[in-house]
Amino acid sequence: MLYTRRNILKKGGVLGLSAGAATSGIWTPAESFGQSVKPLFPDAYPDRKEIIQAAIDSAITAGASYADARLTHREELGVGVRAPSRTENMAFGVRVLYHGYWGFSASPVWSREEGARLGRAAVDQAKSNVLGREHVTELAPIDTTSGHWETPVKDDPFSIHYDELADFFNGLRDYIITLKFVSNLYSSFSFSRIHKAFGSSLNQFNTQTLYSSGGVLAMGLTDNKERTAGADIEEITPAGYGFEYFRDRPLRDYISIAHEEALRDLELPVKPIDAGRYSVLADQNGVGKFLVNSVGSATEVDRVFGFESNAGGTSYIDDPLSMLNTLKIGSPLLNVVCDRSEAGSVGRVKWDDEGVMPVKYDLVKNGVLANLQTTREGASWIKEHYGKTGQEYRSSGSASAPTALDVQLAHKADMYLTPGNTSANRDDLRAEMGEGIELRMPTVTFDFQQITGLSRADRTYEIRKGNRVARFTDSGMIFRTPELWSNMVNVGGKDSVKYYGLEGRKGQPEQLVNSAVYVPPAVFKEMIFIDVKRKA
Amino acid sequence: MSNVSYALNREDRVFNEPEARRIIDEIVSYMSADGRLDVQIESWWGAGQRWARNRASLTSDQREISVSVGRIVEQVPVFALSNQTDSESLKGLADHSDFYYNRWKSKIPPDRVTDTPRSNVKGAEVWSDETFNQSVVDNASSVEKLTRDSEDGGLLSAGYIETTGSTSLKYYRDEWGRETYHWGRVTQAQCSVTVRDPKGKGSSWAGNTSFDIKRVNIQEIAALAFEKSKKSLNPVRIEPGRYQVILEPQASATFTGLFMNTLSRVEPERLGIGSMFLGLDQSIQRLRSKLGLKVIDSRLNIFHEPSDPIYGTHFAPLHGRVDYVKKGILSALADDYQSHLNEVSDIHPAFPTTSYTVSGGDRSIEDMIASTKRAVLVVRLSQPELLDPGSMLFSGVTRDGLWLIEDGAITKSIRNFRWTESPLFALNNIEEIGREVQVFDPVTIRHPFSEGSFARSLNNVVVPPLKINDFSFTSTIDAI
Amino acid sequence: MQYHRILKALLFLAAFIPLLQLPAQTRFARPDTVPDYSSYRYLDECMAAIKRMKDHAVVMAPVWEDTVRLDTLKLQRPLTDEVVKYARVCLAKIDVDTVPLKNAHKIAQGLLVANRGDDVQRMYARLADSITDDSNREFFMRMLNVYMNAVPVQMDKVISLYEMGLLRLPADSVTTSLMLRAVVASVSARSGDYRLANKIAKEILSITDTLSAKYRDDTYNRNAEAMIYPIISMLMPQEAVDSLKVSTTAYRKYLGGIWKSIMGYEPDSDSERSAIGLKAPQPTGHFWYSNLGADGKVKSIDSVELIKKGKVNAIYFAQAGCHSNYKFVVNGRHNGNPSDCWREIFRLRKLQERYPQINVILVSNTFGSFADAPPLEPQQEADTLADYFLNFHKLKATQVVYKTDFIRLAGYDNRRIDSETDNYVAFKLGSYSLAIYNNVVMVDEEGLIFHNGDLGSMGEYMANARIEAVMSRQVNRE
Repeated sequence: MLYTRRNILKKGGVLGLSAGAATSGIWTPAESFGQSVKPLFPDAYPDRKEIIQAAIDSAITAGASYADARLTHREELGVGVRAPSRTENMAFGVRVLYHGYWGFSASPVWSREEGARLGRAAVDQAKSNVLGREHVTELAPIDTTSGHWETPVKDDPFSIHYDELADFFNGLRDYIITLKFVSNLYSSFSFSRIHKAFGSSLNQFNTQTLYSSGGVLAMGLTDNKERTAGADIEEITPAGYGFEYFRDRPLRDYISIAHEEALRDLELPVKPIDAGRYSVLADQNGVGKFLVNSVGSATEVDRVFGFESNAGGTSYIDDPLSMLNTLKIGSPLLNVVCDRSEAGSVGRVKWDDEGVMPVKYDLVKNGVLANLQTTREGASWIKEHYGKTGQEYRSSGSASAPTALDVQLAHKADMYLTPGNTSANRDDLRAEMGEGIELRMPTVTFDFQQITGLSRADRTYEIRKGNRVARFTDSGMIFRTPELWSNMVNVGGKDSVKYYGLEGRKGQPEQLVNSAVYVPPAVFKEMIFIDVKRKA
Repeated sequence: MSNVSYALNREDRVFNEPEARRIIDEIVSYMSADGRLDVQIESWWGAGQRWARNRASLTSDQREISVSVGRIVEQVPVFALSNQTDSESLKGLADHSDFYYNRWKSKIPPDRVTDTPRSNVKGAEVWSDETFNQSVVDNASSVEKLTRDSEDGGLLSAGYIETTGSTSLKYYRDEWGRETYHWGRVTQAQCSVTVRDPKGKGSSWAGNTSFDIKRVNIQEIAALAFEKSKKSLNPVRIEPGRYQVILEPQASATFTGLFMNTLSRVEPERLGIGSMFLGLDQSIQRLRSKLGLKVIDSRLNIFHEPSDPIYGTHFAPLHGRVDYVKKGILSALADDYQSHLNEVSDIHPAFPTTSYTVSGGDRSIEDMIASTKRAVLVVRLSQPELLDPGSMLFSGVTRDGLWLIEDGAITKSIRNFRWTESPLFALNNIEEIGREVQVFDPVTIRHPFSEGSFARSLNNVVVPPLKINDFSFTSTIDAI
Repeated sequence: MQYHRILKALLFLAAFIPLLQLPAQTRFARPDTVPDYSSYRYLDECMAAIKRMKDHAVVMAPVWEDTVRLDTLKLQRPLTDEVVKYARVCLAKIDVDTVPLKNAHKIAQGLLVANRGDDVQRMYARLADSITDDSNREFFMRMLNVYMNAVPVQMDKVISLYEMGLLRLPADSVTTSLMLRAVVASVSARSGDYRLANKIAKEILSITDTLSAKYRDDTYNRNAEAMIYPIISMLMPQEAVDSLKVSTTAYRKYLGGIWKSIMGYEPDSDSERSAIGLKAPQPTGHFWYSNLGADGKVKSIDSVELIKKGKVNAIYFAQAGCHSNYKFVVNGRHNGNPSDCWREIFRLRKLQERYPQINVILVSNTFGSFADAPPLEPQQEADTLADYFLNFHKLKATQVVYKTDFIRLAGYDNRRIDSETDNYVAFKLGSYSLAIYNNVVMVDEEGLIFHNGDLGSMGEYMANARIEAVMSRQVNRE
C-alpha cells in the first residue's frame, strides 16, 4: 500500500487502540499543543531577580556603562531501557561594557554574593583592555519588556513517571525490530528543559522556561540476498515540545513510510556514477542543510564582520553595506524568512539572550540578500542599512548561548524557505524533473566561507522518467553556493514543507545551539556530480 | 546557603584535593554501600581573550564544576551529572542514581575477582603555575601590541588566547567494595591568530597549545600569522592535480591524526574491518591486523610518552610509553585493558591515540622549501571527511594560506584546493621529514553534559612538517 | 466532630508545608507521579511494560531461582498480581471482537497475561474464520507458541490445539506433524507432564519406524529428524528410566533403538550420542587441590584418580575466564553482554546440595590471564582458581588444573594461541569434545558416562532424571 497523506489521515492508530486520541494526520510542528496550559515555572526561583540585580548593581558601581546578567538552569533527560541519565547544570553569567570593551564572567554559583563578585570581575576583565585606545560600542535600541514565558507543552517529560517513558520507547523499539528485514536499529531519545532569567542595566527582567524534545531513530535492513538499505525517521528531530512530541504523533505511520521506502531501495540496482552535470532533486532534509549551512551561516553578522575568522571562518558576504539589497544570493524562487516564534520550533523564544523580542524578517527576498542575523551590537554595524531602507534599527533577536556559562553570540534564527504556489510534493517534483538525480538525507560540508560545498548521500538515486531506477555509490555533488541557489528551478508547495531541528556550532570557545528550518524539497539544474573516491 | 561554602573565590578557582575529597565523601555517604560506583568531581577555570578587527572583542573568566555519579543498572551505565555542590544537590544526585540501582540490582552476590595490581608508571604532571597565574592584563597588553602591529600593517587580526586550569578527583568502588581515588590537575594555554586582508584578498593563521604558557609565544604566533597573511595576498588559481606538497606541522597534524584514529585493535582483530585489517589467518583461524607490518614510511616513529608533559598527558594510560609505529612498522594498537590481556603478553593498552608524537627527521621548513623543485606549501587542512574506511580515503579543503614553491622558493600565493587523499598512501610517499614541533590542538569540552571531561581530553600532538609526493588536489575552491 | 474538622484543616495545611519549604531550585526531583497505564495506546507499549515487570520480578527473586534465569519451573507459577493487574488496565481497550487481526498473536500474549483466556479464544476463532487453508500450518504453530510460552503454560489449550492441528494437517505433511509432536512432547516434559510427553514420543517413534527410504533421502526431512532425536532422547520415559536403572550399557542400547527408529539406521559410533555408555577417561593435570579433608580447608594434594569407582561422579569443566566474560563496563562503555557463565557455578552448587553423595570433580586449565589482573604464573593462577571454586563458591570437590601449552605469534602481534589440553583430547569421545566449559559429564559407579551437557533448564531436568535413575540402581544394590 502506498502511503499518501490521505491514506494516513484515514488510518489513525495502527492497532486501532487509539480511539479518542488525536493521532490522525501528518503532524506538523505548526500544529500546537496545549496553548492554554498554565505556565509551570513562573515563580520557581523567587530570588532570581535579586541575584541578577546584585550582579548588575555591582557592575555599574564598578564603572560599567551597560551590564546584563543571565541565570540558566538546564535539565536533560536521556531515555535508557531501565533508567534515565539525568543532567542538571546551573550557570550565572554577567556581561558588561566598560569604555566600549566587553567583559564576561561566569560561574555555577547562584547567589547575591556571587553576583556581586561576577559583576566586579566582569568589569575587571573589560578594564584590562583599556590601554590607551578608546573604543565605542553601540547597542541597537530595545523595548524594555518584562515578564515570563514558557514553551507551551502538554506533557512535561520531567513530571512523567520514568516507567511510562521507558515503556513507550521500549515498545517503539520492539515494534520496529519486528518489521520485515530490519536487521539493526539505532535509537536515542532525550528531553531538555532550561529555565532562564535575564536582566540588564536597562531595567529589563524576564524569565523563560524552554523545552526541547528530540532524538534519532534509524533502522537498517538486510534482505535474504544480503542487500542492505537504511532509513532514518526524519520526523524525529529536535523540536520545542514535551513528551507529546512522541506520544501524540503517528510515529508508527512515519516508520511504515520510511520502512516501505527502504524495502523499495533493496530492490534497486547499485552502480557507480558517471561524473557530469545533472538535474538534482534534493529532499527537504537536504535543502534544509544547504540553506542553514550556506546562507544561514553566511548571514550571521559576526561572521560577516570577521569576528569569527579565527574560529569557524568568515563569510562570502564580505561587504555587507553594499551587498544588502543588491547581492543576488540565488534565483528569484529563493525567499528566506527568519522567525523565532513558530510553535514547536526548537529555536522558539519570546526573548533572545539580550532581552530582545525576535522579529520576523526577510533574510533573502526574491533571491536578493535583504538582511543579516543580528545582535544588538551587530545591528549597529549595519545601522546605515536600516537608515537607507527605512527599516527599524534594532537587533533581529539572534543573541543566544547554550547556557549562561557562555557569552551571547549571534546564533541562527529559525528559517523558512518559502514554498512554491503549487501543491507539488517530492513525488511531483521528481516526475516533473524526469531525468536526473535525487538526494535523500544527504550530508553537506561547506568551506570556511560557505562558498563551496560538497554534498554526499548514502541514498543517491538515479531518476529516469520520473522514477527511481538505481542507487549510486560514491557519488558527491560539488558546488558553489551562488550557483546552487541560482540553479534552483523548482520548489515544492506548501504541503511539502518539512521541519528539522539542526545543530549549529560557532565561537571560540565553541558553542552548540540548535535552530530550526522549514523547507520544501527543491530541484536544482545542472549540478556537478563526481565520483568522490576518484583522486586527481 | 551551603552553596556559598563551595563558592570558587579568585584565590581558589579550582578545587584542591581535600575539597574534592570532601564532596565525594559526602555523596558516597548518601548512597547505598553496595555495587559499583563511579563518582567524579571536576572543576575548571578558564580565562579567555578574544579579539577581531584589531581590537579586543571579549575578555572572559569562566568557572565550571562537574559532579558525576555513575551506577550500573541492568548492565548499562547510568549517569547523573550536576554542577552544584551543596548538600541538597548532592543528595539529589545520589538519590537519583541509587533509586534505579536499588530497583534493578540483582539479588545474586557479586562474583569475586583477585586483587588487580596496577602498573606503577606515573604520568608527568601536566601543570604549570605560570599558566594558571597568567594575568588578564598581560594577555590584554599582548593583544594590544599585536593588533596595533597588524593595524599598522594594514591587515585585520582576529584571535583567541586562553589559559585554563582544571582538577579532577575520580572515585571508583568496584562490585567487591574496593575503593580507589585518582587525583590529577592540568593546565592548558592556547593561542591562535588569523590575520586577513580587509578586502578578503588574503588570509593566514598560526597557533599553538601547551600546558605551559611559556611555550606558547603569543607575539611570535601573531608575527607569523601576519607575515604569512601578507604573503598570501591575491592568490592565483592553478590547475588542480597531483602536486608535491609540504605540509606545515598543523596540516601534518590533521593528516597524521586521521591515521592515528584508525589504530584500534577492535576493528581489525575482532570485527575484521578497517584499514588496519590484514585478513583471516587460516592457520590459526584468527583475524589478523597489520601489527608487525610496515604501514607507513620507515623513517617515521609514532609514540606516546606519559612521563614527559611535552609528549604525554597525565590522564593517559598509566602503563608507560607506547610505541605505535616503530620505523614505519605498526607496533601497537589501542585496546581496552580486558580484551588486551586475553591475547597479548605485554600490558600496554594504548589509549588514547589522540596524544602522540611523530618523529623521523630534523630539517627545518626553510631547508625543505629550499630543496624543492616545485611543490605546494600547505598551512592547514580543514574539514576532513571520510570517504572510504578500507583505504582510509578522506576529502577536505585547504585553509589559511597556500603557496606554490618553485626552484627552492615560494613564488606565488595560490587559491585553496579541495583535496582527496589517503594517509595510508601519502605517508608511504614521503620525500622529506622535518623536525617535530607541538601544534595547536586545544581541549574543546567545556560543558561536560554527557561523558565529557575537561582534564581527560587534553591532547599533546607533536608532529613534523612533511614533504609528500603526488598529493591529490581534486578541485579549486573559492574561499580565501 | 470539631476534632475531625481541626485535623482536616491541619492535614490541609500540612499538604502545603512542603511546598512552602520547597527549595528554590529543583534538583533531580523524581516526578511524584505513577505511570498512567490507561494512556498506553499501542500493544508494544503494554508488552514492554509487562516485560519490564516480569524482569523486575526475576531480579527480585531469591538467589537459587535467580541463578537459573530460564527456570522452567517458573512456567508453572502464576505471574504476580501486579503484572496481571497492570496488563488488565493496559489492555482494557482491546475489544477482541473488533481488534485488527494483523497482530493477533502479539495481542494474545498480552491477553493471556491479563487472564483473559476466553477473549483469546474468541479472537482466535475470528482469526480461524478469516484464514485460508494455505496458512493453516503457520497458524497452528503460532497459536501453539503463544500458549506454550504463556506464564503459566496453558497445557490444556496446547493439547487441544495440538489435536485440532493434527486433524487439520494435510495427510502428506509428515515432517510438519512430526515437528509438531516433538515440540509438544518437549513442552509437556518441561511442564512436568511426562505421561503425555512419553505418549507423544511413542507416536513419533511409531511414525518414524514406518518411514520409507525415499522419504528419508530428502535433506529437509533428514534435517527435521536430526532435530527430533535430541528432543526425544532428552525425555525420560519409563523405558529410558528402566534401562538406566538396569545399567548404563542398557541405556545406551535404548538410545540406539530410538536413534534407529528416528533416523532409519544404526547409530554411528562416532556420533555424539554414543558418548553415553562409554568409559570416561581420568582427567589429568599439573596442579591438584581438594577441600574434602576433615577440616574442610583447601589443600594442594598429590595427583589422584579423580573418578571414583562405586560412586556417581560429576566432572565439571570449569572456566577460569568467567570473570572476564562477566565484564560489562570498561572505560565507561557498555562492553558486550555479561555472560551467564558464572551463574552455572551456582547450578553446580545446587546439584551438590541436592545430591551430596556425588563426587564432584573440577577440571580446569590455565589461561595466561585471570580476570582483569596482569598475567599470573601458572602456579599462581591454579592457586587462584582453587581458591575461587573451592573457597569462594564452597564447592566440596577435588580440582585439577592443567597447565596449558601455548605458542606466541611471531612479530609484534605476539598473540597467545593455546594448544589443546590432554583432557580436551581425551574427552573427544564423539565427533567433538565433551570437555566444554561449564558442561558437566556424569559418570556412574562403573566409570561409564551416563550424562553430558550444561546445567541449564533442560540440562538440569535431564541430569536430575538420570542421576535419580542411577542412584536408585545403587539403592537397589544396597
